[in-house]
Amino acid sequence: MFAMDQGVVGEWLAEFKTLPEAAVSGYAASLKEKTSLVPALYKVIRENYSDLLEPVCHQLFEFYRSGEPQLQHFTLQFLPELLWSYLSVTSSRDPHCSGCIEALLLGIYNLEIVDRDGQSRALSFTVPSLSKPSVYHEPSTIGSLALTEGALANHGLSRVVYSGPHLQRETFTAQNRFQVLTFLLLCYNAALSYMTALSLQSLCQLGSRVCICGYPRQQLRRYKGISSRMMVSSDFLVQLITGIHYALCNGESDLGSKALEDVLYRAQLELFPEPLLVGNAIRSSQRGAALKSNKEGPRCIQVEITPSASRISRNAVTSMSIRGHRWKRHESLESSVETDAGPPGPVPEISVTVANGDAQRLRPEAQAPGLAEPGPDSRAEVRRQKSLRRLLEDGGPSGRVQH
Amino acid sequence: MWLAKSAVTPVVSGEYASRDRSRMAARISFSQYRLEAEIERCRAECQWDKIPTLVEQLVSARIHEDDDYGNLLLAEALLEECLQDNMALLRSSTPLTETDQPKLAKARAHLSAILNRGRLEPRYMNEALLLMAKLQYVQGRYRDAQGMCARAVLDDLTRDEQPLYHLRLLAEACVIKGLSLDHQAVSAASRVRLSERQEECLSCYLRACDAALLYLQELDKTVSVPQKGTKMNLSLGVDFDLGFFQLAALQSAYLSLLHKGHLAQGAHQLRRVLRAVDSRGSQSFRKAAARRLAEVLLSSVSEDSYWDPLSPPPLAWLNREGAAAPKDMLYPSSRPPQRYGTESVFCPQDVVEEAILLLLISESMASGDAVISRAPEHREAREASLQDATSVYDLLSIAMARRGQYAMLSEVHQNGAWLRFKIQCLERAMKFSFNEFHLWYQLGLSLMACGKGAGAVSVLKECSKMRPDDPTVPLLAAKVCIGQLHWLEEGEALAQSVVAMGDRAAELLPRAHLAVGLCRSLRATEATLKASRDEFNRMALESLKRAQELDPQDPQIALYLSLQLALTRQVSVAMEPLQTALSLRGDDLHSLHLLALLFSAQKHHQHALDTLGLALSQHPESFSLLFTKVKLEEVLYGPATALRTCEDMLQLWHSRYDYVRTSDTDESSSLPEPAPLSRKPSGLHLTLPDFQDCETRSQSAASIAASRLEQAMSEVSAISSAHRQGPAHIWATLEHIWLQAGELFMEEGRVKEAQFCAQEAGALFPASHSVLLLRGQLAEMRGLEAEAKTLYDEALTIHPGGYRILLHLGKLLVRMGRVSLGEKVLRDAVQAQSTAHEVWSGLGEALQSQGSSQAPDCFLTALELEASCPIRPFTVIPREL
Repeated sequence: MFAMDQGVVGEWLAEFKTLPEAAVSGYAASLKEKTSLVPALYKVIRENYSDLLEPVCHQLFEFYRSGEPQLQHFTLQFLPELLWSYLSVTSSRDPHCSGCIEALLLGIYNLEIVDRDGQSRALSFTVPSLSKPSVYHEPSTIGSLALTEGALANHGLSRVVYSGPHLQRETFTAQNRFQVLTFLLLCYNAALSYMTALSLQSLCQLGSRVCICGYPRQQLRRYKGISSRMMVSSDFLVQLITGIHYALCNGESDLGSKALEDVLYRAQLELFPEPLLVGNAIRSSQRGAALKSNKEGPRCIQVEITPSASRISRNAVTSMSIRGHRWKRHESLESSVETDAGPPGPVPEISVTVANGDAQRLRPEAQAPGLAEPGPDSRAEVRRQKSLRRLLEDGGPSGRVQH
Repeated sequence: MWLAKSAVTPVVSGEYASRDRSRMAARISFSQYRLEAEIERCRAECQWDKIPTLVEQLVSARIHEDDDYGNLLLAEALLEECLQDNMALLRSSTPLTETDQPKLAKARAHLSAILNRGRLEPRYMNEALLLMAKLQYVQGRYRDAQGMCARAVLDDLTRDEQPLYHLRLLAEACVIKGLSLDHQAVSAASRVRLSERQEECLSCYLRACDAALLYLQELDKTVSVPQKGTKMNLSLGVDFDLGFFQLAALQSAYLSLLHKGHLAQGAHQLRRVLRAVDSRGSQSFRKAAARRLAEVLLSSVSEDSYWDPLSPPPLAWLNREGAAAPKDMLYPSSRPPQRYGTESVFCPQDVVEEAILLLLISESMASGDAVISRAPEHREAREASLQDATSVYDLLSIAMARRGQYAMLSEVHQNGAWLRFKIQCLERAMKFSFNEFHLWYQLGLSLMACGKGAGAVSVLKECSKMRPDDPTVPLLAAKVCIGQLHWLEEGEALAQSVVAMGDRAAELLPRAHLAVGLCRSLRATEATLKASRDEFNRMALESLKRAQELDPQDPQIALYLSLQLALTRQVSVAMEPLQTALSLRGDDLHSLHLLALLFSAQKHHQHALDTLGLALSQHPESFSLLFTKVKLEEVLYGPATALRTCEDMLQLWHSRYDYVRTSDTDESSSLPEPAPLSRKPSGLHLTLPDFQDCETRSQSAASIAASRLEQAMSEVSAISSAHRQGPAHIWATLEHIWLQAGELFMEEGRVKEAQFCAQEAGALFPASHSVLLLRGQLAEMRGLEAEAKTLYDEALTIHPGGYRILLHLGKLLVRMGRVSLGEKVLRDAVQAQSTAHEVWSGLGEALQSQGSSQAPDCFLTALELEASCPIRPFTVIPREL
């Protein structure tokens, strides 16, 4: 660490201490102008043994405790670096030098789990419902097509708690470690829009390293640091991926996509379904975006041609048209077989529970004209449909299906 | 030039020079008037195929003196048809050429003639100019197009009494103007000019968008207002196709903002578009726009920076994008489209809420659109609808996972799956496309994440068929089989399929061996015949050793290798892999617990207790560790000390779970919905294995069945349903604590307290075999042998394989003088649990009292087993992937 950096940090330490209460918000705004400060602080955190680490952690905590959003964001930008520092020290089991980082992390955690009155905070959100009018829709125009909505309505949920209430923590233990770290990442993710590129890069590095250290992939990434495997939890990986997703879409596409691959790699090894689910979804949507942008000209905007049923062909059968013509004599162009859907023919014995209570609505589709070809093949098809249907229903442990 | 002439040439009925409608109305016949109206309607609804016929009628009726008006109509129809045929080229801004497009050439010829003659009245000259602008734009002559737009008088198109198709022309004119400017932007020299030009573009786009939305809404009003119950007339253009320039008018504003990276303004514009009342023509466009907005929200707006849909973007953000205020405020629209109300409607307050709402709207349209025709010409359309569905489900996955809503997500995916399945039936090849595998895999993962194990396994097996080379998929299924479902044979088969992949399974190969080993180990525990048990144990050890060879750095593999050795009572050998496990992960719960148990098996009880102290400092809330601690304290310091730990456990239980319980009762009293569903369960799940596994409820199939029965029976009993809503293991833990305390009190001879504990436990699970067992023991203590026997019998009915019940019943029978029956029961107990030394010594006593010569063998076995017996069975360590 250069003397110059030390000077910058020292100045920063001294300045805030003498700051009068009233000047805090102005000071917060002025921090952006100190361009050499942030890199110097990163250096302090990376060098675990620096004498400055303890006062720096202390001051970062003071920033956080001030409640001034800009100061809080200033502290939060170092969170990925702090987490990495903490985790790497923990895995090397060198307990005495991460004390102040631990204290800072626990301090932020304990501040964040309570609201302003010191009551335990539970984060909740409302599950939207298409059956209620919103600023974007009128239930009447949606009609009965909203399959998913039907499924969600069955939950009868409106307000859902997704994190908390959490307990105050005085120390890290093996048991609470990832619960605390996961929550800290949640707080960081909430503030992602305010984070600098440097912080996003640090997050991607954290993601990659935590996931590959000690595994064969470490060689691939040519990372030579810690070589022992670090523990991770499923929720922690989900939060990591959420942050990486933001980085990926906001300027850090290289580091971000590497980090995403690394987290998915680890999630596969750990057989964690949750991060795999989100990570696959992100990867797939990035893939879709890449396909689009490849065709896109370099400069000009490109209008999206939305396919509509009639553009495809006025005669193509869509699920909408089937539902619309449920009771109508319908001659399908695809198969010249005329089918009268009015009095249903042999209705495949399919108990529909995709969306409970939707059985009536769905059944006619199962024998929609033009879908099943007559002949032995269609029999097999119906049987396949049946068994698949059943496996989708899952149900409890009794719903075991043998294939 | 020819604008100035303003010659009014089309002569109505050959006499009147003006087409002014009020004067005309008196003269022209009704059929002519209808013809005019029909033409206007077709131009509004873009029914270009009808125009030639109408023009023919026009000519034959000789309404106009010359052909310019008819030619204008024909030129428009030709041009629009040409555009319809070339959507893809337009999209990629590839200029159309007249040599390739005869229609285009004809249209140009007509338009040039009209403009040159200049005989049409201003209104139609204006239209001709705009058509020319459009034609020049599609030919890539942007400067000319811009010039044409500049000559046209756009304001004339906005007046209220104008025909509907003028709104369409206005929208198209604005967007053509904007796009033409955009295409030329590079040539602009100075930066100031550039930004001026960009600003002008944007104002054009915004105006185009509002006009297009208004046009569609107005169109909706005129086209068929279907009454309920009447058949909708399909020919009336219910399914209305938007042309290229209409789509461009709707999208350009937000596309250009997003393209420039102005996320806040782009999102704001998308919201304005989506806030406009839906019309039939805009549906598929809205579907895409809603998805796009959701995408922007999820990828670039974090919780803290969110602003709700009814407010303008935060100033700080606008400033960052170099704007002082939202553009729509700078360029207010003279006739804005109608927007959805804001009173008493749902308005999202959170980025995920808004994203999910938008995606639900998008999905409700997507599922209607899905093409399920098998005709080959619809192949592309099918793929497009699959791609659409995929992106909506991907975004829903991202949004819902952020809120831990895996149960909802699994239902969303299930709905999509049913629709897709029908697509799949139509075309087998789809099954192997990327999207298809991806969507099924996501369904499997979501089912797994929300604990719907059986469904997850079935779907994952299907996925595995689609992609047989992927080792992750079958291993995920194996994990569910082993942990949640206890389908050991199935799990072993799945894991074996990965083992069979050999090196292709790469890093997952050792995990596959581990999975096989765990299945075999669990099957050994369950086996009733000694021979098969030994065989399973041997094979389990083999797999686990192989796993460790392949990956010596895996702490979990080392732990389970050690556990397997411990289970076969190779206590000192088990220490070695355990040391490896602990050196890799020193604070692991199960490794430390196993170490304590191994110490206790070596009768180093003090070491064991010290180890537990260390383990508890890292896992202070592990009940499984605490139960072991109770047992050790009982041995080392007597029941009184152990009881204090029990008390601590009760305290801990209350502090940890009481909020769950109170919130349950609170919410279920006021609301019908089950609260625990809404709670993110992962925190509780993590420690799940701690609780299910005290020896009386070890994870054998029989005892799982027993606990289900218990649950069912308790459910019908008097306990309120609200009480039972928490995850079952929470209540099982509490029951276990009470029973443990009861046993300790019994040990101390404090019958009353013990009875109280049994009562408390019984209140939780009235039909629990463990409670019945304790009550039986208490009855025995009080000398009520008959009652004790009844209680043991009842317990056995619920849990026929419970060796502790068998042991107590057997010994009671022996004491009651029914020695041979007792001996039979004790033999069953030995069968059920051959490593329990109490059972062997019990059997020995029974045999001895009959004077059997086998008795000493039994005592010897008991002695031998006791020498390696841990304080609690090794099976309390859960065996899971």
